[in-house]
Amino acid sequence: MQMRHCLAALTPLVFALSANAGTTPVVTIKSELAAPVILENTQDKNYVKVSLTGFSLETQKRSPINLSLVIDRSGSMSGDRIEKARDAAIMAVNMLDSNDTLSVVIYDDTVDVIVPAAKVKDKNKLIETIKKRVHARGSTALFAGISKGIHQVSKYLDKEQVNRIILLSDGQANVGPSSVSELSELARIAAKKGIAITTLGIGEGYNEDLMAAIAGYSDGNHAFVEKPSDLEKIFAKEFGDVMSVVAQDVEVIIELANNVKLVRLLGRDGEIKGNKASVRLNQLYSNQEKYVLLEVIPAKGTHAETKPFVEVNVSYDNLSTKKKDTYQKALPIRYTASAAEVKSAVVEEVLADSAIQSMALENERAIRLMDEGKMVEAKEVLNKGARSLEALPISSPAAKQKVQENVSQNDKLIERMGKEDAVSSRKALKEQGYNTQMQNKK
Amino acid sequence: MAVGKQNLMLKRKPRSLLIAVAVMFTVVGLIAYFGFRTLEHEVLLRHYQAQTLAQTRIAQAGTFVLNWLEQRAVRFDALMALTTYDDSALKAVIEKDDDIESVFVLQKNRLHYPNERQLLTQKEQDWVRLIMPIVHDPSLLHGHNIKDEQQAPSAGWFIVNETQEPVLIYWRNKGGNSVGFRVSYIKLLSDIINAADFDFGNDLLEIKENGRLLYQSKTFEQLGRMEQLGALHLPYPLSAWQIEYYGRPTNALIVYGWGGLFLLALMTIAGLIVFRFYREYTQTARLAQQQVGFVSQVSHELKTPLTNIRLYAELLKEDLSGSSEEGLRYAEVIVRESQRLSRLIQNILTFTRAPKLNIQPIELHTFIQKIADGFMPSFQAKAMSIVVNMPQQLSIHSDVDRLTQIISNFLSNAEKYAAAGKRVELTVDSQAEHVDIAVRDYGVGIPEKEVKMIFQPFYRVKSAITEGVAGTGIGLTIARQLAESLGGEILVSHPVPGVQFILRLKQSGKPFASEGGLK
Repeated sequence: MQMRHCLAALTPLVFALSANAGTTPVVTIKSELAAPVILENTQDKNYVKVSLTGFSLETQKRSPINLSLVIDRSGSMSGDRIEKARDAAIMAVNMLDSNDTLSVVIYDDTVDVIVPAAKVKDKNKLIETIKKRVHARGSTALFAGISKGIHQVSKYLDKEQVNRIILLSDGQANVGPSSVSELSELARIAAKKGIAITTLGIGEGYNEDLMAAIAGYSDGNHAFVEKPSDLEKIFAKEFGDVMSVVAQDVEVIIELANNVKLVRLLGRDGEIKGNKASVRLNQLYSNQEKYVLLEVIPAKGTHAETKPFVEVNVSYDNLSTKKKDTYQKALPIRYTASAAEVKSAVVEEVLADSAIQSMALENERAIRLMDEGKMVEAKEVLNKGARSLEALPISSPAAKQKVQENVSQNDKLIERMGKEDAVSSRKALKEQGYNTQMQNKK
Repeated sequence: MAVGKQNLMLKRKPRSLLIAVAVMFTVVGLIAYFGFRTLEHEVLLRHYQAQTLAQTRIAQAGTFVLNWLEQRAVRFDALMALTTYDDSALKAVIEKDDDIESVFVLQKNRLHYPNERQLLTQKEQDWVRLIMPIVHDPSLLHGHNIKDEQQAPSAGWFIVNETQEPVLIYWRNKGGNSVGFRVSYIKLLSDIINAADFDFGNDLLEIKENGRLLYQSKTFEQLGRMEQLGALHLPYPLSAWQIEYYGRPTNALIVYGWGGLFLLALMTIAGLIVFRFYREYTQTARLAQQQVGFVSQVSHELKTPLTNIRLYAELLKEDLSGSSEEGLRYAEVIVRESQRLSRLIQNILTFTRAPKLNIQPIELHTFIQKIADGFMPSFQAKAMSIVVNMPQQLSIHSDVDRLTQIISNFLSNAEKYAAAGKRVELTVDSQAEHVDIAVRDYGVGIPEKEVKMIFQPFYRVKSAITEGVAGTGIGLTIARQLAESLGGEILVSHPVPGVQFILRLKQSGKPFASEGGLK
């Protein structure tokens, strides 16, 4: 019933987004500086933001999906969890159509491909198989499970469809390679093939660092499914994402002009070489903004001088036109003696995003403190982050709202830490941090 | 006739039980021994087969893993031959090739790629740090691949296990350059997990890397009580990999259990068969014993009236002497036949019951003469003569009845079978050690090959002479047994014509080999 509800919720969303049909759909790319005008002879931190917003998608035109569901059926999944996982898998079957490819992998200490990758034709038969085969037992061979998922998706790998693995697990990896670095490497291999892995951690037993890393390196989503009953909702959201992929294999290259110093990437990770940063995104979703944020220190300049500052290059596979689109833009920086002019030129949203990402990094530190058992200090860090974010001098309603959302999230977390055990709040914190860094819908 | 036979069997009874038991034990023992050996062999064979199978399958899995490396090596060789070693080409290789993570090119022992003089990404910097030892000493690469002392190899695998994730490199020398591709170790693990698909029924194969389970041909739950049947460490560079094979242990218990049951059944059957034979045998023996008892009883009952008949016949003969020729002849016949009958009965009784040994000094001259006289009438009736030839003074210690019976048996044989010879010589010859009492006839003699047989009970020489002559066939048997009981022996010699039986007794020695019983 909940499943149907979710489907109903999705449909109007997709309709509403199909407004600009007719024109060639392209990803909206904006390159901005937090402070495009700066005071002469100063070297304050500045931020370059390249935001990408997926175009609206026509209902009939969503890209085919090549999905592999990888379901943990270790002993701990028994009861509610495996039941909900089974329901979620059945929901997945119902949401796909005959253009899509589905495979279902279940694993404990060994891996079974219960539905080998194939077009979704006979839904009833698939549902029967899932009902019959998805049961809990054994221990957790996470590495092998994902490997099989990658293998299944690879069989029908196509750049023009959405290639994705959804991993449902409540456990630690305890059979085969199990370290974060090894599974990250596996996720990187998946990413290299253009496969994103979404990791859904159920309950309090899973390793959130591992699950977030897998999602992170392959640019999938990561969610903490606190109660098994939430699974369908989260699954529906995931499907909303998967079905609204408009661009894949996105590469953003930001090259700074000479004398501009690259400090770090905020949020998404990427590769830095000298003063060139390149970031890969596996996909862009319809009407969702993803961005790359770079912290830089500008060169000194004199009043009224305009210098070239940064050059942005973006390329992506447009799933709608099935072509590779490119975008190029050079941003200059202007120097002034007037502080008022500087202030009026500030792009508040970029400022807000950079502050939010900085806070996300601080929140990571809070997790480490929690791991050391320093709950009070961790709360302090969260609180300090929220307060300094709150104090950000911004006035635009959009930026304010964004900031306020993050502040209240941190506040909620602090409240939660007071009430619940560390395990659960750590998972929530990790999930929130992940979503902030990847600019996922929360 | 039946009497003697049954009696003989009777005497063997305790021995026959012993033999039966011995045969039974031997048969059962042999079955048990060979059966057990067969079972043992079967168990060993099964074990060996299981192990051979395990080895084959392990080797199969090993080849499967090593094939991955081999295939990559072949592909990389081709790729290395085609790729030019400039930055962009190499970058494209890293970018596009799923298997290749990083590349290095050494030119004249200097790192040509990644070029340290250019800006490097974090990943490239890490890579350069990892391969620094190789840059300093490229011979590290083929340190593990040396097959031929003279010639350093020109390509091969290299692995460093020191880091968290092993660094697996395929390298090749080309011109003055060394090119190396770092292969994603995780990709290797993932590919092996994906491609491994073994189904060994109830048996289980595991591929492990550094003790970590990568692949299992069957789920752990079903593992149960399995036993490792074999294991294999893969060669360099995958020396950390192990393939293990598990199977149900050869169930020796089942083999031994069922085999043992079968053997037990077999032994029981064999035992029953032996027992049945023994039962049949002892039953006959028991019957015979009863019959012998009966005959012995009857013979004993006959003895008393016969003695009276003989006594009165002899009295009658004496009364008639000198009177009616006819009457005297009749009386003589009665005396003769009654003597014969009493000898016969004596023989039967001797055979069935052992009379007590009664040793006393015997004056041989009168003793022999008396026996000869006793036989005279019947010999005369057949126109035969007895010639007694002996020294005047000779006495020995012996049993009168037994001695009489032996000599009578000899004479009775001569009378029956050598009547054609007309003459029988009864000779006593005293030597230093022994005394020989010989009875020689002039009949047709006995073929030498039959001499041994004549002492066996109920054996009778088959010839025209024995044809139609009544005889029990136990005379000589008894004679020999009696002779032995007296510590003497019976010898047979073959003078021409005829045959000579000699009773050889120890010279006045006191013969007491036995208590007088017949063996």
